Amino acid sequence: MQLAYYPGCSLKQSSALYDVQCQLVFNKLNIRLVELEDWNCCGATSAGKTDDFLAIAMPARNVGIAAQSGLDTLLIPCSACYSRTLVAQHYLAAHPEQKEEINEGLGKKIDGPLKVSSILEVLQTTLESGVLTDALVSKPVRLKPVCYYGCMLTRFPFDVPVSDDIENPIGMDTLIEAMGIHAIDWNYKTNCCGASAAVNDPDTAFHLMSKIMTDAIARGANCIITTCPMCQLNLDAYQEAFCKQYNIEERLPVFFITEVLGMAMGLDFHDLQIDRHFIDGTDLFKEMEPYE
Amino acid sequence: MSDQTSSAGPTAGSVAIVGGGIGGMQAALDLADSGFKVHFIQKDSSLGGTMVMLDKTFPTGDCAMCMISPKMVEIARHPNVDIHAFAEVTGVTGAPGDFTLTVKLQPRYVDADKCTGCGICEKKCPKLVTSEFEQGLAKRKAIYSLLAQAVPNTRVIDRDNCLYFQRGRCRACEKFCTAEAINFEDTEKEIRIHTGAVILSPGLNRHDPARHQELGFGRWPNVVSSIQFERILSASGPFMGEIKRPGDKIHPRKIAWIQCVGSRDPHHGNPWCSSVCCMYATKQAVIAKEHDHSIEPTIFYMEMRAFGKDFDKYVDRAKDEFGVRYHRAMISAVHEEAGTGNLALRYAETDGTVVEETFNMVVLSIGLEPHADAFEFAKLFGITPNEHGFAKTSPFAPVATDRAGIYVTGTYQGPKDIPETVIQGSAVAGSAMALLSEGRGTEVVQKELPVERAVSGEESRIGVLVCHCGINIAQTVNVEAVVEAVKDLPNVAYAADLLYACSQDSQETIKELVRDHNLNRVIVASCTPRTHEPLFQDTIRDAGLNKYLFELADIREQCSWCHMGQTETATEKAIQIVKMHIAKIRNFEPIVTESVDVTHAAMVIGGGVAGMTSALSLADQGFPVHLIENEPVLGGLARNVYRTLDNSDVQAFLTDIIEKTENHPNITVHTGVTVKKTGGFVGNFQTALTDGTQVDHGTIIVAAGGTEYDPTEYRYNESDNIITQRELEKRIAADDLPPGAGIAMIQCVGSREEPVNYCSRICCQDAIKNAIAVKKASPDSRVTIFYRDIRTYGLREDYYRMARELGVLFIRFVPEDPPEVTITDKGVAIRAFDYILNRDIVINADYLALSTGLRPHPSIEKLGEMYKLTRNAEGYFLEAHVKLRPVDFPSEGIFVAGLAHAPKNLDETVSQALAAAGRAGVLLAQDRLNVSGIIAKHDRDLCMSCLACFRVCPFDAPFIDEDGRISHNEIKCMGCGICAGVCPAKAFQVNNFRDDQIIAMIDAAV
Repeated sequence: MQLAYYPGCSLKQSSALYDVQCQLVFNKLNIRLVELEDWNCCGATSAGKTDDFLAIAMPARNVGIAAQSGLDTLLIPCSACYSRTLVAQHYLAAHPEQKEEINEGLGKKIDGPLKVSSILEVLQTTLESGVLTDALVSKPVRLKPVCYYGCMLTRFPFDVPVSDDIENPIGMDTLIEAMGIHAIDWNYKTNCCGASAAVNDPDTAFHLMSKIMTDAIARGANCIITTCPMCQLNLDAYQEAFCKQYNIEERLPVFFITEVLGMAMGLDFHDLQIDRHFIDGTDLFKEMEPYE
Repeated sequence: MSDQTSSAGPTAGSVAIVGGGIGGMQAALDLADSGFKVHFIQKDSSLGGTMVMLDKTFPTGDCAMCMISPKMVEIARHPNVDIHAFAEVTGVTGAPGDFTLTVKLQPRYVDADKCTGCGICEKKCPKLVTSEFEQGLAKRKAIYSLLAQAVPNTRVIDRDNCLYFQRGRCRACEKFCTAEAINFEDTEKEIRIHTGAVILSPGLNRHDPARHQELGFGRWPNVVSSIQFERILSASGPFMGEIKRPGDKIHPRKIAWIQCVGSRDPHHGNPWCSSVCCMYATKQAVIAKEHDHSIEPTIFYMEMRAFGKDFDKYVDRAKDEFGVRYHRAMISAVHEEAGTGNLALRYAETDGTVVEETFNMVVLSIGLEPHADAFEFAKLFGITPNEHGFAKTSPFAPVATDRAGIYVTGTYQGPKDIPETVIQGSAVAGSAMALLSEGRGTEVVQKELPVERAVSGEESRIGVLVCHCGINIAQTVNVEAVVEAVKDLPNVAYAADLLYACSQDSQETIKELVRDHNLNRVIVASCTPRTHEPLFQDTIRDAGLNKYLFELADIREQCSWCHMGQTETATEKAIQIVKMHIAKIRNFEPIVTESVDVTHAAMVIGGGVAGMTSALSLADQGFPVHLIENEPVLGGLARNVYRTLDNSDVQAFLTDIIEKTENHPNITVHTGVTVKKTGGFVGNFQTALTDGTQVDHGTIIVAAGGTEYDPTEYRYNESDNIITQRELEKRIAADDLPPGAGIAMIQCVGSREEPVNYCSRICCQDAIKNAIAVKKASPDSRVTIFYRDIRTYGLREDYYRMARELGVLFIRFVPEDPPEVTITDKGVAIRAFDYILNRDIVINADYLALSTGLRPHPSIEKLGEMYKLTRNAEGYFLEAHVKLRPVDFPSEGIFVAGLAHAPKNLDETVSQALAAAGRAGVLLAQDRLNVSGIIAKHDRDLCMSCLACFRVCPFDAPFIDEDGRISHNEIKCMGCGICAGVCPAKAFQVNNFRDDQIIAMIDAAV
């Protein structure tokens, strides 16, 4: 199976390891990721804050490229890219005049059906088909994770079809449970990590992150699993700083769903680049039990 | 397939009722008591619906089960009601007067004919299943009854959970059943029912709070739904009335109620207001506080919709007497604190500050919605649903569907509370009576009673039965100790305890005991005689005893409730009370009661919509009606109303019913007159009108109406631009407003503030109705409504939303800072504080419309005195029972409808008027009326005609006879005993309260 693949800026820069892990894990699941040709930035928060038209037009161009790729599904692992692109697609479907205006300027027109999928949606289908379970080799038994979805994955500025519960998503928990690992329920699944405020308003962002961290520790978690590169980076890179500021003793590694899956699939530790996190979590993968 | 006839034919004398909650039950009793056969079809294995799950009811705090249980038993025993429980209608054919229903009966696997309801099967069943009735908070067995007081009380095997059905072995129930009632071979059956009319009362579904995951239901164990909280409060519930959190069984201190969960929420829930949640949350908070004084309740609400009779007063009491905190805020998230199980609620204060507050427990006030299959249900019966799935009805015919002969009642017609449901139950019964008036009496059977055993001269053989009331009594009173203490007293032939004395199987037990032990007097020690005495009297009558050889000893109100936690004191007192009643009943004699003829005609006082609707319904039922109106023309207040909220034409409706009323052969209209003098009693009233006409009638409906308040507030009399809402409505109807006009409205003028501190109920909708009309006629108009709470309850919420969408501005104010009105050159300027902008604003308008409230009609005071009818503090008539007798008066034969009872909307007035006609029809359908046995007996030999009794009797029963001495009219006597108290010669003695009986009680006590 082939999927159109939009990595976005994060997966090429600060979270390059997420791109590597995605390629490896989907390869194991017999899914080939075909990166969009000549893709551009989704606009992220910057476009939306400066120009309503740009906020739609930027991701729209990528939708056009994907639509002309011949593939029916576009996988976007980054939550922000996914949100911007999905919103643009549905906005244009509801506003044909603007779609026409944008299409006029596009080389590759937005045309025909295209399913914009988050990484959890695609993984969910492999779970349902049994492919994912078949690919599992050994279970990292030390993991006591909380699943952290972040604020962008299920919540949008207007109505779009969401495949999970908006307030209490369970897609990632289901995957983790299917791996035989208990995903601990907690309060902060969809709370904001501070996102770009970590750079320009660290006081606010640190406060938000400290609350996320405190609840995860109180629930007995020993790691956080996420799908969003922004959330992962914030909670990982600033953990020392915000924990010191809020007198939090413990530290929790913050994993992508892909590295946890990759390890369970028997992929190589170094290939997955698990040792590249700020908070070291490699110990948690020291004990592996084969699946029956 | 078997056929259940009933003589079929176009004028059938039977009615099928689909849905066995309180609304259907009221309709069933009214119809069966007035000469109609009732086929009662219920989906659950027992009657009861939602009301049986509730603990107490607002605003009186009465126990729900205690009110409904006697009615359930009454239906079960009624010779003219056939209950088909665990059954569903699968097909409907035919026309009014001649319908055929196909009904599928699910297998119970227990033979109802053999089952005695002893319950041994349930005790022996090894399989535990999560209880739906207890909302998942407790377990039941795989063979079970829905509730302890189930009707019918035959248990049911839950096939999906039965060990025998699922794994092929067990059959414990069969082994232990001495009646051989278990039948594993039972199968689904289909029957046909021929009937004249169909009443749909399928009731409601509760909104699933798990749809709002931000509130944590199903996720955090100490977040419960309001129906779960009812079970937690209930003495027969999972925690036996102790308030504990389900998560860890700890007593919570701070409890938060979150209102409007799934209601007024078109995005994630239902767009309508569920009408009942503000009040039930208030009730739950008050009752919780009563159960455990350390509880600190907080209710988070959007708008306090205490729109019903005495509701605002109840909320004020909750605040002032019980310390319930009401906080206007919408909760955006409920987080569970790790480790403690406490819950942090996040909300924004009015000024925008975001707050997090921690509670020990959270209750989600979930709303009402139609059943999931509501659209298919409507299709099955061939009626049209509205867009939400409720049955579509018109405000002028609230219980009629668009298919003739098929009626709706209760929450299927729209969200409503218990009294409104009961009103519609009687209303729909009245409508069916009118449809099938010719068939009345053709399909009923008379109950055969055994010959009364002669007991005079026999020595007293008293049976004493002490009721546990589940744990309601037994958790405080040691019931076994009471039995032990009285069983060897002289004349006590038998004494035992019963789990629920009022349940259907207990009635059988009591009958058997009377026969087996040759008892000639029976005492039940349980609850209040007000609700339960008639039930036990009927039971001993069935056993062949005169029904007045019964005595009820109240050990619940007088012992277990008021001495909670003091088992020793309460038990001692209970023993004392039972001993006193034993002493009393020894002296009881059989009482022979009188019966009187009935004048089969009605008098309706008030020629407004209520009076005319009642009159037309009774006239259609075939009874002559005298309609009295003090004004020269019919129509009442509705003459000034042009449109309803849904834009129906009121004037066209009014013209139509006035014409029907004036031309109906059974109606005599008396306009321009009032009642001058009244005499007689239930079944036989004589009335003299001011024009000299004499009217004989068996019943009276008081529909004397109300008036609109004439305001003095907000400079009403100082400018032509300041008008009332009614005057604005007239201008809208006449198209007499400038295009693009600025219209401001102020709500609650002369309502909800001393000295008139009640909600007039209609004003919010009147304002919104007019605002929508103005905006639709001229979209450039600027309409601003200054309000305290917008009370568009039920489906009326749709119009509140429509008004907002049309651009009507709503600005809230508090009574401490009401809007200030200035008269300007161009019109009016209104200053108020805006909570959203957080500053004062001024709105300029061409017109200011004041929403003035309703007042009782001035004639009500005189009518009240004339007929000895009580009124509440506001001057409205007080019904016999707020919940279950909403159109009856305590005085028999007199009923109330419309604004004379309380402020209400047109559709509610029509419902209540139909209900009053239904209740009056029950009475007029009787050939003879039995007079109560509990009356004063007058001994002329002792009487000195001092006239003490004559002066004090509230019912005018003693009268000066032709010989100049006092005689006593026993038919008028209500048995109050005032005469017996004042008579210096002891010439008056009240049956079963004779001096010798009371003295025996006192002797037993001291």
